[in-house]
Amino acid sequence: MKIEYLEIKNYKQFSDLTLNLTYPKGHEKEGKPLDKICIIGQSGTGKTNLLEIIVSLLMNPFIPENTSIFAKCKMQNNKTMKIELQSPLGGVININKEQHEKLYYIDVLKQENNTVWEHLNRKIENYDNERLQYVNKLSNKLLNIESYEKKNFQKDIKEWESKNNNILEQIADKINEVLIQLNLQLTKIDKNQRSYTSLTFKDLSNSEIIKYQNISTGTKNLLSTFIPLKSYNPKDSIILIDEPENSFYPDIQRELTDLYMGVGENNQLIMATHSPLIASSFEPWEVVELKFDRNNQIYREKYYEGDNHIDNYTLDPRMLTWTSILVDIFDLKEDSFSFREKKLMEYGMLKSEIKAMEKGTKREEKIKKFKKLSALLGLQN
Amino acid sequence: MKKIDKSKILSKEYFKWMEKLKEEKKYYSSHKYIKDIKMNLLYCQNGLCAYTEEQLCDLELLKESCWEDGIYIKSLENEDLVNGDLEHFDCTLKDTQAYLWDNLFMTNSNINCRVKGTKPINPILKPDAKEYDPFKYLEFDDKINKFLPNINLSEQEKQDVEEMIETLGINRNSFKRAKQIKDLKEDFELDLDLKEPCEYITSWKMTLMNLRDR
Repeated sequence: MKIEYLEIKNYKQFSDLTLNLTYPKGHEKEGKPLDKICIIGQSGTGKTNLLEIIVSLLMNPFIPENTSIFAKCKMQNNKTMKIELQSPLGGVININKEQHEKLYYIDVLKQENNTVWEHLNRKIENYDNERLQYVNKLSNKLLNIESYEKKNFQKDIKEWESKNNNILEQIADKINEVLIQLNLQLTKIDKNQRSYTSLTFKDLSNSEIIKYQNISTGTKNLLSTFIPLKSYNPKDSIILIDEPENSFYPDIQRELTDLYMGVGENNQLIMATHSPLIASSFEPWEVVELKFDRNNQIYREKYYEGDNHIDNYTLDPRMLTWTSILVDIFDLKEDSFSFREKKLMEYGMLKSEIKAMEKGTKREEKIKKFKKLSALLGLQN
Repeated sequence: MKKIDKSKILSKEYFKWMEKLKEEKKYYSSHKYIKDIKMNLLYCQNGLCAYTEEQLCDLELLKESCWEDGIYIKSLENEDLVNGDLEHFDCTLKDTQAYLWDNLFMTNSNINCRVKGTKPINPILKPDAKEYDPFKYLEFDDKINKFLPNINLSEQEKQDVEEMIETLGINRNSFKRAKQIKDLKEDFELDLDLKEPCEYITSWKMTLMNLRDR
Protein backbone atom coordinates (compact mmCIF):
# COMPACT_ATOMS: atom_id res chain seq x y z
CA MET A 1 0.00 0.00 0.00
CA LYS A 2 1.20 3.51 -0.78
CA ILE A 3 -0.33 6.88 0.08
CA GLU A 4 -0.97 9.01 -3.00
CA TYR A 5 -3.01 11.90 -1.62
CA LEU A 6 -3.46 13.48 1.79
CA GLU A 7 -5.69 16.36 2.83
CA ILE A 8 -5.72 17.65 6.41
CA LYS A 9 -8.00 20.36 7.77
CA ASN A 10 -7.82 21.84 11.27
CA TYR A 11 -5.54 19.28 12.85
CA LYS A 12 -2.74 20.51 15.11
CA GLN A 13 -0.69 23.06 13.08
CA PHE A 14 -2.34 22.06 9.79
CA SER A 15 -5.28 24.32 9.03
CA ASP A 16 -5.52 23.36 5.38
CA LEU A 17 -2.80 21.18 3.90
CA THR A 18 -3.09 19.16 0.70
CA LEU A 19 -0.34 16.82 -0.44
CA ASN A 20 -0.26 15.21 -3.85
CA LEU A 21 2.09 12.27 -3.36
CA THR A 22 2.24 10.95 -6.91
CA TYR A 23 4.91 11.20 -9.62
CA PRO A 24 4.39 14.25 -11.86
CA LYS A 25 3.59 14.34 -15.56
CA GLY A 26 6.44 13.27 -17.82
CA HIS A 27 7.86 10.87 -15.22
CA GLU A 28 8.07 7.18 -16.12
CA LYS A 29 5.87 6.50 -13.07
CA GLU A 30 3.49 9.39 -13.82
CA GLY A 31 0.41 9.34 -11.58
CA LYS A 32 1.68 6.46 -9.45
CA PRO A 33 2.25 6.97 -5.72
CA LEU A 34 5.75 8.04 -4.73
CA ASP A 35 8.14 5.23 -3.72
CA LYS A 36 9.90 7.44 -1.24
CA ILE A 37 9.08 10.75 0.41
CA CYS A 38 11.33 13.13 2.31
CA ILE A 39 9.58 15.53 4.67
CA ILE A 40 11.62 18.60 5.56
CA GLY A 41 10.85 21.93 7.19
CA GLN A 42 11.95 23.99 10.14
CA SER A 43 11.01 22.94 13.67
CA GLY A 44 7.30 23.37 14.35
CA THR A 45 6.12 22.86 10.78
CA GLY A 46 4.73 19.44 11.70
CA LYS A 47 7.07 16.86 10.17
CA THR A 48 6.69 14.41 13.04
CA ASN A 49 2.96 15.17 13.32
CA LEU A 50 2.56 14.30 9.67
CA LEU A 51 4.12 10.87 10.30
CA GLU A 52 1.84 10.42 13.32
CA ILE A 53 -1.22 11.42 11.29
CA ILE A 54 -0.41 8.72 8.75
CA VAL A 55 -0.18 6.11 11.51
CA SER A 56 -3.36 7.20 13.27
CA LEU A 57 -5.19 7.64 9.97
CA LEU A 58 -4.55 4.05 9.01
CA MET A 59 -4.55 2.36 12.40
CA ASN A 60 -6.60 4.40 14.83
CA PRO A 61 -8.99 6.68 13.01
CA PHE A 62 -9.73 9.12 15.79
CA ILE A 63 -10.16 12.79 15.02
CA PRO A 64 -10.67 15.85 17.18
CA GLU A 65 -13.65 18.18 16.80
CA ASN A 66 -14.08 20.00 13.46
CA THR A 67 -11.09 18.24 11.94
CA SER A 68 -11.22 16.52 8.62
CA ILE A 69 -8.63 14.23 7.09
CA PHE A 70 -8.90 12.63 3.69
CA ALA A 71 -6.45 10.22 2.15
CA LYS A 72 -6.20 8.03 -0.91
CA CYS A 73 -3.97 4.98 -0.84
CA LYS A 74 -3.05 2.67 -3.68
CA MET A 75 -3.25 -0.96 -2.57
CA GLN A 76 -0.99 -3.70 -3.93
CA ASN A 77 -3.91 -5.06 -5.99
CA ASN A 78 -3.99 -1.61 -7.66
CA LYS A 79 -7.31 -0.73 -6.02
CA THR A 80 -7.63 2.65 -4.35
CA MET A 81 -8.57 2.85 -0.70
CA LYS A 82 -10.15 6.15 0.27
CA ILE A 83 -10.14 7.18 3.90
CA GLU A 84 -12.30 10.12 4.85
CA LEU A 85 -12.45 11.21 8.43
CA GLN A 86 -14.82 14.04 9.12
CA SER A 87 -16.95 14.72 12.12
CA PRO A 88 -18.12 18.00 13.61
CA LEU A 89 -17.96 16.39 17.05
CA GLY A 90 -14.81 14.37 16.58
CA GLY A 91 -14.29 10.84 17.89
CA VAL A 92 -13.53 7.40 16.54
CA ILE A 93 -14.60 6.97 12.96
CA ASN A 94 -15.48 3.63 11.43
CA ILE A 95 -14.11 3.34 7.94
CA ASN A 96 -13.99 0.59 5.40
CA LYS A 97 -13.36 -2.08 8.02
CA GLU A 98 -12.80 -4.83 5.52
CA GLN A 99 -9.67 -3.19 4.14
CA HIS A 100 -8.52 -1.86 7.49
CA GLU A 101 -8.55 -5.22 9.18
CA LYS A 102 -5.78 -6.29 6.84
CA LEU A 103 -3.51 -3.49 8.03
CA TYR A 104 -1.18 -3.76 10.95
CA TYR A 105 1.32 -1.44 12.51
CA ILE A 106 4.67 -2.24 14.08
CA ASP A 107 6.76 0.31 15.94
CA VAL A 108 10.11 -1.40 15.54
CA LEU A 109 11.92 1.02 17.82
CA LYS A 110 9.55 0.42 20.72
CA GLN A 111 9.88 -3.33 20.61
CA GLU A 112 11.72 -5.01 23.42
CA ASN A 113 15.11 -6.44 22.56
CA ASN A 114 13.82 -9.94 23.24
CA THR A 115 10.80 -9.50 20.97
CA VAL A 116 13.02 -8.59 18.03
CA TRP A 117 15.25 -11.60 18.47
CA GLU A 118 12.34 -13.96 19.21
CA HIS A 119 10.74 -12.80 16.00
CA LEU A 120 14.00 -13.30 14.14
CA ASN A 121 14.50 -16.71 15.70
CA ARG A 122 11.05 -17.83 14.59
CA LYS A 123 11.91 -16.76 11.07
CA ILE A 124 15.23 -18.60 11.25
CA GLU A 125 13.54 -21.74 12.61
CA ASN A 126 10.97 -21.64 9.82
CA TYR A 127 13.72 -21.25 7.28
CA ASP A 128 15.73 -24.12 8.77
CA ASN A 129 12.68 -26.42 8.97
CA GLU A 130 11.64 -25.71 5.41
CA ARG A 131 15.17 -26.23 4.20
CA LEU A 132 15.45 -29.48 6.09
CA GLN A 133 12.20 -30.77 4.63
CA TYR A 134 13.36 -29.91 1.16
CA VAL A 135 16.76 -31.53 1.72
CA ASN A 136 15.00 -34.72 2.95
CA LYS A 137 12.82 -34.72 -0.13
CA LEU A 138 15.84 -34.38 -2.40
CA SER A 139 17.76 -37.06 -0.44
CA ASN A 140 14.94 -39.51 -1.09
CA LYS A 141 15.10 -38.61 -4.73
CA LEU A 142 18.85 -39.19 -4.73
CA LEU A 143 18.41 -42.61 -3.18
CA ASN A 144 15.54 -43.76 -5.34
CA ILE A 145 16.05 -42.23 -8.75
CA GLU A 146 19.10 -43.39 -10.61
CA SER A 147 19.27 -40.50 -13.06
CA TYR A 148 19.19 -37.99 -10.22
CA GLU A 149 22.81 -37.38 -9.32
CA LYS A 150 24.66 -35.51 -6.60
CA LYS A 151 25.27 -32.54 -8.89
CA ASN A 152 21.48 -32.28 -9.47
CA PHE A 153 20.98 -32.40 -5.72
CA GLN A 154 23.45 -29.53 -5.15
CA LYS A 155 21.95 -27.50 -7.97
CA ASP A 156 18.44 -27.87 -6.55
CA ILE A 157 19.56 -26.86 -3.07
CA LYS A 158 21.25 -23.77 -4.45
CA GLU A 159 18.14 -22.87 -6.42
CA TRP A 160 15.96 -23.30 -3.33
CA GLU A 161 18.26 -21.08 -1.31
CA SER A 162 18.21 -18.39 -3.95
CA LYS A 163 14.41 -18.38 -3.95
CA ASN A 164 14.00 -18.48 -0.17
CA ASN A 165 15.13 -15.74 2.12
CA ASN A 166 17.82 -16.47 4.62
CA ILE A 167 17.12 -13.56 6.88
CA LEU A 168 20.48 -13.72 8.64
CA GLU A 169 22.42 -13.51 5.40
CA GLN A 170 20.20 -10.73 4.15
CA ILE A 171 20.70 -8.67 7.29
CA ALA A 172 24.46 -9.17 7.21
CA ASP A 173 24.73 -8.39 3.49
CA LYS A 174 22.68 -5.21 3.66
CA ILE A 175 24.13 -3.85 6.86
CA ASN A 176 27.69 -4.60 5.77
CA GLU A 177 27.22 -2.38 2.71
CA VAL A 178 27.00 0.51 5.16
CA LEU A 179 29.31 -0.76 7.90
CA ILE A 180 32.17 -0.97 5.43
CA GLN A 181 32.20 2.85 5.50
CA LEU A 182 33.01 2.57 9.18
CA ASN A 183 35.72 -0.02 8.52
CA LEU A 184 33.49 -2.61 10.17
CA GLN A 185 31.96 -5.89 9.14
CA LEU A 186 29.25 -7.79 10.97
CA THR A 187 30.87 -11.18 11.55
CA LYS A 188 28.71 -13.19 13.84
CA ILE A 189 24.98 -13.33 13.50
CA ASP A 190 23.62 -16.80 13.95
CA LYS A 191 20.51 -18.63 14.91
CA ASN A 192 21.50 -18.73 18.56
CA GLN A 193 21.45 -14.97 18.69
CA ARG A 194 19.37 -13.75 21.61
CA SER A 195 20.28 -10.07 21.79
CA TYR A 196 22.29 -7.36 20.10
CA THR A 197 25.03 -7.68 22.74
CA SER A 198 26.28 -10.99 21.35
CA LEU A 199 26.86 -9.51 17.90
CA THR A 200 30.52 -9.18 16.93
CA PHE A 201 32.28 -7.13 14.30
CA LYS A 202 35.56 -7.24 12.46
CA ASP A 203 37.65 -4.08 12.35
CA LEU A 204 38.67 -4.08 8.68
CA SER A 205 41.71 -1.90 9.32
CA ASN A 206 43.43 -4.49 11.55
CA SER A 207 41.15 -7.59 11.45
CA GLU A 208 40.53 -7.37 15.19
CA ILE A 209 37.19 -8.50 16.54
CA ILE A 210 35.09 -5.86 18.27
CA LYS A 211 32.24 -6.60 20.62
CA TYR A 212 28.86 -4.90 20.27
CA GLN A 213 29.41 -3.01 23.54
CA ASN A 214 32.43 -1.28 22.04
CA ILE A 215 30.92 0.01 18.81
CA SER A 216 29.74 3.63 18.44
CA THR A 217 26.31 4.97 19.40
CA GLY A 218 25.55 5.68 15.74
CA THR A 219 26.35 2.11 14.71
CA LYS A 220 24.22 0.75 17.55
CA ASN A 221 21.35 2.99 16.41
CA LEU A 222 21.73 1.73 12.87
CA LEU A 223 21.59 -1.90 13.97
CA SER A 224 18.71 -1.42 16.37
CA THR A 225 16.63 0.23 13.64
CA PHE A 226 17.62 -1.81 10.64
CA ILE A 227 17.68 -5.32 12.14
CA PRO A 228 14.11 -5.20 13.55
CA LEU A 229 12.85 -3.59 10.35
CA LYS A 230 14.58 -6.15 8.16
CA SER A 231 13.38 -9.00 10.38
CA TYR A 232 9.84 -8.29 9.13
CA ASN A 233 11.01 -8.20 5.51
CA PRO A 234 8.40 -5.54 4.81
CA LYS A 235 6.49 -5.84 1.54
CA ASP A 236 3.84 -3.47 0.15
CA SER A 237 4.22 -1.51 3.39
CA ILE A 238 4.62 2.10 4.40
CA ILE A 239 7.85 2.63 6.34
CA LEU A 240 7.90 5.77 8.45
CA ILE A 241 11.18 7.00 9.95
CA ASP A 242 11.59 10.19 11.95
CA GLU A 243 15.03 11.81 11.85
CA PRO A 244 16.97 8.79 10.52
CA GLU A 245 20.17 10.89 10.60
CA ASN A 246 20.44 10.95 14.40
CA SER A 247 23.98 10.10 15.58
CA PHE A 248 25.25 9.45 12.06
CA TYR A 249 28.30 11.02 10.52
CA PRO A 250 27.59 12.62 7.08
CA ASP A 251 29.08 9.78 5.01
CA ILE A 252 26.65 7.30 6.61
CA GLN A 253 23.71 9.70 6.24
CA ARG A 254 24.27 9.55 2.49
CA GLU A 255 23.69 5.79 2.53
CA LEU A 256 20.55 5.70 4.66
CA THR A 257 17.94 6.22 1.95
CA ASP A 258 19.30 3.36 -0.16
CA LEU A 259 19.62 1.16 2.92
CA TYR A 260 15.99 1.61 3.94
CA MET A 261 14.72 1.42 0.36
CA GLY A 262 16.41 -1.98 0.17
CA VAL A 263 14.87 -3.29 3.36
CA GLY A 264 12.02 -5.03 1.54
CA GLU A 265 9.94 -4.99 -1.61
CA ASN A 266 7.58 -2.41 -3.08
CA ASN A 267 7.42 -0.29 0.08
CA GLN A 268 6.77 3.41 0.43
CA LEU A 269 9.53 4.97 2.53
CA ILE A 270 8.56 8.20 4.30
CA MET A 271 11.31 9.98 6.23
CA ALA A 272 11.17 13.25 8.17
CA THR A 273 14.62 14.79 8.33
CA HIS A 274 16.78 17.84 9.00
CA SER A 275 19.65 16.39 7.01
CA PRO A 276 20.58 18.02 3.69
CA LEU A 277 22.53 14.86 2.83
CA ILE A 278 19.46 12.68 3.15
CA ALA A 279 17.31 15.22 1.25
CA SER A 280 19.84 15.19 -1.58
CA SER A 281 19.05 11.57 -2.42
CA PHE A 282 15.43 12.36 -3.30
CA GLU A 283 13.88 13.38 -6.58
CA PRO A 284 12.41 16.91 -6.31
CA TRP A 285 8.78 15.68 -6.43
CA GLU A 286 9.58 13.32 -3.56
CA VAL A 287 10.46 16.19 -1.23
CA VAL A 288 7.64 17.59 0.90
CA GLU A 289 8.97 20.86 2.25
CA LEU A 290 6.66 22.30 4.90
CA LYS A 291 6.82 26.02 5.52
CA PHE A 292 5.03 28.76 7.47
CA ASP A 293 3.28 31.39 5.37
CA ARG A 294 2.91 35.00 6.54
CA ASN A 295 -0.13 34.02 8.61
CA ASN A 296 1.80 31.20 10.26
CA GLN A 297 -0.14 28.57 8.36
CA ILE A 298 1.67 25.51 7.06
CA TYR A 299 1.95 24.96 3.32
CA ARG A 300 4.00 22.78 0.99
CA GLU A 301 6.67 24.66 -0.95
CA LYS A 302 6.35 24.12 -4.72
CA TYR A 303 9.53 23.35 -6.65
CA TYR A 304 7.89 23.82 -10.04
CA GLU A 305 6.32 26.61 -12.03
CA GLY A 306 3.05 26.16 -13.95
CA ASP A 307 1.98 22.59 -14.56
CA ASN A 308 3.26 19.78 -12.30
CA HIS A 309 5.50 18.35 -15.03
CA ILE A 310 9.08 17.13 -14.57
CA ASP A 311 10.28 19.76 -17.05
CA ASN A 312 8.82 22.58 -14.96
CA TYR A 313 10.84 21.82 -11.82
CA THR A 314 13.37 24.52 -10.97
CA LEU A 315 15.06 22.70 -8.09
CA ASP A 316 16.50 19.22 -7.92
CA PRO A 317 18.26 18.24 -4.67
CA ARG A 318 20.24 15.54 -6.47
CA MET A 319 21.93 18.17 -8.63
CA LEU A 320 22.99 20.54 -5.84
CA THR A 321 26.11 20.74 -3.69
CA TRP A 322 25.58 20.36 0.04
CA THR A 323 25.99 24.13 0.46
CA SER A 324 23.44 24.84 -2.26
CA ILE A 325 20.98 22.44 -0.65
CA LEU A 326 21.30 24.34 2.62
CA VAL A 327 20.64 27.60 0.82
CA ASP A 328 18.13 26.67 -1.88
CA ILE A 329 16.15 24.00 -0.06
CA PHE A 330 16.76 24.51 3.64
CA ASP A 331 16.56 28.30 3.14
CA LEU A 332 19.71 29.14 5.06
CA LYS A 333 20.44 32.83 4.57
CA GLU A 334 24.23 32.60 4.91
CA ASP A 335 26.70 29.88 4.00
CA SER A 336 29.05 30.55 6.92
CA PHE A 337 29.45 32.52 10.11
CA SER A 338 30.38 36.21 10.02
CA PHE A 339 33.99 35.29 10.89
CA ARG A 340 34.42 33.72 7.45
CA GLU A 341 32.69 36.71 5.85
CA LYS A 342 35.26 39.02 7.46
CA LYS A 343 38.13 36.80 6.38
CA LEU A 344 36.76 36.74 2.81
CA MET A 345 36.83 40.53 2.81
CA GLU A 346 40.42 40.40 4.07
CA TYR A 347 41.23 37.96 1.24
CA GLY A 348 39.67 40.24 -1.36
CA MET A 349 41.47 43.32 -0.05
CA LEU A 350 44.82 41.49 0.05
CA LYS A 351 44.30 40.42 -3.55
CA SER A 352 43.63 44.03 -4.63
CA GLU A 353 46.70 45.24 -2.74
CA ILE A 354 48.96 42.60 -4.31
CA LYS A 355 47.74 43.52 -7.78
CA ALA A 356 48.64 47.18 -7.18
CA MET A 357 52.06 46.49 -5.62
CA GLU A 358 55.47 46.60 -7.29
CA LYS A 359 57.50 43.39 -7.25
CA GLY A 360 59.65 43.06 -4.14
CA THR A 361 59.95 41.59 -0.65
CA LYS A 362 56.83 43.28 0.71
CA ARG A 363 54.76 41.93 -2.14
CA GLU A 364 56.17 38.43 -1.58
CA GLU A 365 55.17 38.62 2.09
CA LYS A 366 51.65 39.65 1.11
CA ILE A 367 51.44 36.80 -1.40
CA LYS A 368 52.48 34.32 1.29
CA LYS A 369 49.79 35.67 3.61
CA PHE A 370 47.26 35.62 0.77
CA LYS A 371 48.00 31.99 -0.12
CA LYS A 372 47.69 30.89 3.49
CA LEU A 373 44.38 32.71 3.87
CA SER A 374 43.12 31.25 0.59
CA ALA A 375 43.88 27.73 1.85
CA LEU A 376 42.22 28.38 5.21
CA LEU A 377 39.12 29.68 3.42
CA GLY A 378 39.05 26.56 1.26
CA LEU A 379 39.29 28.65 -1.90
CA GLN A 380 42.09 26.61 -3.44
CA ASN A 381 39.79 23.65 -4.02
CA MET B 1 25.16 49.80 -3.30
CA LYS B 2 23.70 52.21 -5.86
CA LYS B 3 23.72 55.94 -5.50
CA ILE B 4 20.20 57.02 -4.67
CA ASP B 5 18.55 60.23 -5.81
CA LYS B 6 15.78 61.15 -3.38
CA SER B 7 14.87 64.47 -4.99
CA LYS B 8 11.69 63.26 -6.70
CA ILE B 9 8.96 63.96 -4.16
CA LEU B 10 5.60 62.31 -4.73
CA SER B 11 4.44 62.25 -1.11
CA LYS B 12 3.61 65.92 -1.08
CA GLU B 13 1.17 65.70 1.84
CA TYR B 14 3.86 64.15 4.03
CA PHE B 15 6.26 66.92 3.09
CA LYS B 16 3.66 69.60 3.91
CA TRP B 17 3.14 67.93 7.28
CA MET B 18 6.91 67.83 7.91
CA GLU B 19 7.23 71.55 7.05
CA LYS B 20 4.47 72.34 9.50
CA LEU B 21 6.20 70.31 12.22
CA LYS B 22 9.43 72.18 11.55
CA GLU B 23 7.68 75.53 11.85
CA GLU B 24 5.98 74.49 15.07
CA LYS B 25 9.26 72.96 16.29
CA LYS B 26 7.55 69.90 17.65
CA TYR B 27 8.03 66.20 17.45
CA TYR B 28 5.07 64.20 16.30
CA SER B 29 4.98 60.38 16.24
CA SER B 30 1.90 59.81 14.09
CA HIS B 31 2.26 56.99 11.56
CA LYS B 32 -0.19 58.78 9.28
CA TYR B 33 2.13 59.07 6.29
CA ILE B 34 4.22 55.94 6.72
CA LYS B 35 2.83 54.25 3.58
CA ASP B 36 3.53 57.37 1.54
CA ILE B 37 7.08 57.62 2.86
CA LYS B 38 7.81 53.96 2.15
CA MET B 39 6.42 54.07 -1.38
CA ASN B 40 8.15 57.35 -2.22
CA LEU B 41 11.45 55.91 -0.99
CA LEU B 42 10.93 52.74 -3.03
CA TYR B 43 10.14 54.94 -6.03
CA CYS B 44 13.50 56.73 -5.58
CA GLN B 45 15.28 53.41 -4.98
CA ASN B 46 13.69 51.72 -8.06
CA GLY B 47 12.05 49.18 -5.75
CA LEU B 48 15.42 47.97 -4.40
CA CYS B 49 16.89 47.69 -0.92
CA ALA B 50 19.02 50.81 -0.43
CA TYR B 51 22.00 48.76 0.76
CA THR B 52 21.88 45.28 -0.78
CA GLU B 53 19.97 46.19 -4.01
CA GLU B 54 17.65 43.23 -3.51
CA GLN B 55 14.22 43.79 -5.04
CA LEU B 56 11.61 44.70 -2.41
CA CYS B 57 8.50 45.26 -4.54
CA ASP B 58 7.05 44.96 -7.99
CA LEU B 59 7.74 47.95 -10.26
CA GLU B 60 3.99 48.17 -11.00
CA LEU B 61 3.52 49.56 -7.50
CA LEU B 62 5.93 52.39 -8.23
CA LYS B 63 4.04 53.99 -11.11
CA GLU B 64 3.21 57.66 -10.68
CA SER B 65 -0.43 56.77 -11.37
CA CYS B 66 -0.50 55.16 -7.89
CA TRP B 67 -0.34 58.69 -6.45
CA GLU B 68 -3.13 61.25 -6.24
CA ASP B 69 -2.94 64.70 -4.63
CA GLY B 70 0.37 63.84 -2.97
CA ILE B 71 -0.96 60.61 -1.38
CA TYR B 72 -0.25 57.00 -2.34
CA ILE B 73 -3.69 55.65 -3.20
CA LYS B 74 -3.05 52.02 -4.22
CA SER B 75 -4.10 49.47 -1.62
CA LEU B 76 -1.24 47.49 -0.08
CA GLU B 77 -3.45 45.37 2.15
CA ASN B 78 -1.81 42.21 0.94
CA GLU B 79 1.38 42.29 3.00
CA ASP B 80 3.25 40.26 0.42
CA LEU B 81 3.24 43.20 -1.99
CA VAL B 82 6.02 45.14 -0.30
CA ASN B 83 8.91 43.56 1.56
CA GLY B 84 11.38 45.44 3.68
CA ASP B 85 11.41 48.00 6.46
CA LEU B 86 11.69 51.72 6.88
CA GLU B 87 15.28 52.16 8.00
CA HIS B 88 16.79 55.10 9.90
CA PHE B 89 20.32 55.52 8.56
CA ASP B 90 21.43 57.34 11.71
CA CYS B 91 19.41 55.66 14.43
CA THR B 92 20.24 58.40 16.98
CA LEU B 93 17.85 60.68 15.07
CA LYS B 94 14.95 58.25 15.42
CA ASP B 95 13.71 59.60 18.75
CA THR B 96 13.57 63.23 17.75
CA GLN B 97 13.19 63.17 13.96
CA ALA B 98 11.60 59.84 13.18
CA TYR B 99 10.30 60.97 9.79
CA LEU B 100 13.25 63.03 8.59
CA TRP B 101 13.33 62.32 4.84
CA ASP B 102 17.11 62.61 4.53
CA ASN B 103 17.63 59.93 7.16
CA LEU B 104 15.24 57.33 5.73
CA PHE B 105 15.70 54.40 3.36
CA MET B 106 13.80 51.25 2.54
CA THR B 107 15.87 48.14 3.26
CA ASN B 108 15.64 44.41 3.61
CA SER B 109 14.02 43.59 7.00
CA ASN B 110 16.82 41.27 8.07
CA ILE B 111 19.40 43.99 7.41
CA ASN B 112 17.32 46.57 9.24
CA CYS B 113 16.56 44.47 12.31
CA ARG B 114 19.42 42.04 12.69
CA VAL B 115 22.44 43.34 10.86
CA LYS B 116 22.49 47.11 11.17
CA GLY B 117 20.18 47.64 14.11
CA THR B 118 21.45 50.55 16.19
CA LYS B 119 25.10 50.36 15.17
CA PRO B 120 26.88 53.72 14.79
CA ILE B 121 27.31 54.91 11.21
CA ASN B 122 29.85 56.79 9.14
CA PRO B 123 28.32 58.93 6.34
CA ILE B 124 31.04 57.85 3.92
CA LEU B 125 28.65 55.17 2.60
CA LYS B 126 25.34 57.04 2.77
CA PRO B 127 23.65 56.05 -0.49
CA ASP B 128 22.07 59.50 -1.14
CA ALA B 129 25.05 61.59 0.00
CA LYS B 130 26.21 64.14 -2.58
CA GLU B 131 29.78 62.77 -2.50
CA TYR B 132 28.82 59.11 -2.59
CA ASP B 133 29.84 57.22 -5.72
CA PRO B 134 29.93 53.40 -5.58
CA PHE B 135 32.70 53.26 -8.15
CA LYS B 136 34.87 55.58 -6.07
CA TYR B 137 34.37 53.89 -2.72
CA LEU B 138 33.76 50.25 -3.61
CA GLU B 139 35.01 47.47 -5.81
CA PHE B 140 33.51 44.04 -6.31
CA ASP B 141 35.40 40.74 -6.18
CA ASP B 142 33.27 38.42 -8.30
CA LYS B 143 35.22 35.32 -7.23
CA ILE B 144 34.18 35.65 -3.60
CA ASN B 145 30.98 37.64 -4.27
CA LYS B 146 32.01 40.49 -1.98
CA PHE B 147 32.06 44.27 -2.12
CA LEU B 148 35.39 45.61 -0.82
CA PRO B 149 36.78 49.09 -0.15
CA ASN B 150 38.23 50.53 -3.33
CA ILE B 151 42.00 50.00 -3.50
CA ASN B 152 42.56 53.66 -4.41
CA LEU B 153 41.16 55.03 -1.14
CA SER B 154 43.37 56.22 1.71
CA GLU B 155 44.02 53.76 4.53
CA GLN B 156 41.59 55.59 6.83
CA GLU B 157 38.90 55.65 4.15
CA LYS B 158 39.42 51.96 3.44
CA GLN B 159 38.95 51.19 7.10
CA ASP B 160 35.82 53.36 7.31
CA VAL B 161 34.35 51.78 4.17
CA GLU B 162 35.14 48.28 5.38
CA GLU B 163 33.32 48.97 8.65
CA MET B 164 30.34 50.44 6.84
CA ILE B 165 30.13 47.47 4.42
CA GLU B 166 29.74 45.33 7.52
CA THR B 167 27.33 47.72 9.27
CA LEU B 168 25.01 48.10 6.29
CA GLY B 169 25.14 44.37 5.50
CA ILE B 170 26.00 45.06 1.86
CA ASN B 171 27.44 41.57 1.50
CA ARG B 172 24.67 39.82 3.42
CA ASN B 173 21.90 37.62 1.93
CA SER B 174 23.98 37.52 -1.21
CA PHE B 175 23.31 34.06 -2.64
CA LYS B 176 20.90 35.43 -5.20
CA ARG B 177 23.53 37.99 -6.15
CA ALA B 178 26.12 35.24 -6.52
CA LYS B 179 23.80 33.33 -8.87
CA GLN B 180 23.26 36.45 -10.96
CA ILE B 181 27.03 36.99 -11.18
CA LYS B 182 27.54 33.35 -12.18
CA ASP B 183 24.92 33.76 -14.95
CA LEU B 184 26.59 36.96 -16.14
CA LYS B 185 29.99 35.24 -16.32
CA GLU B 186 28.51 32.32 -18.26
CA ASP B 187 26.75 34.68 -20.70
CA PHE B 188 29.96 36.70 -21.08
CA GLU B 189 31.99 33.56 -21.80
CA LEU B 190 29.40 32.43 -24.36
CA ASP B 191 29.39 35.89 -25.92
CA LEU B 192 25.63 36.22 -25.40
CA ASP B 193 23.70 39.50 -25.24
CA LEU B 194 24.11 40.92 -21.75
CA LYS B 195 20.95 42.45 -20.31
CA GLU B 196 21.21 44.65 -17.24
CA PRO B 197 19.33 42.91 -14.41
CA CYS B 198 16.67 44.58 -12.29
CA GLU B 199 18.48 43.97 -8.97
CA TYR B 200 22.10 43.84 -7.70
CA ILE B 201 22.97 46.25 -10.50
CA THR B 202 26.19 47.67 -9.02
CA SER B 203 27.80 44.24 -8.54
CA TRP B 204 26.69 43.32 -12.07
CA LYS B 205 28.27 46.47 -13.55
CA MET B 206 31.49 46.02 -11.56
CA THR B 207 31.76 42.35 -12.57
CA LEU B 208 31.32 43.34 -16.19
CA MET B 209 34.16 45.86 -15.77
CA ASN B 210 36.30 43.13 -14.16
CA LEU B 211 35.56 40.71 -17.02
CA ARG B 212 36.40 43.28 -19.67
CA ASP B 213 39.64 44.17 -17.85
CA ARG B 214 40.82 40.53 -17.72
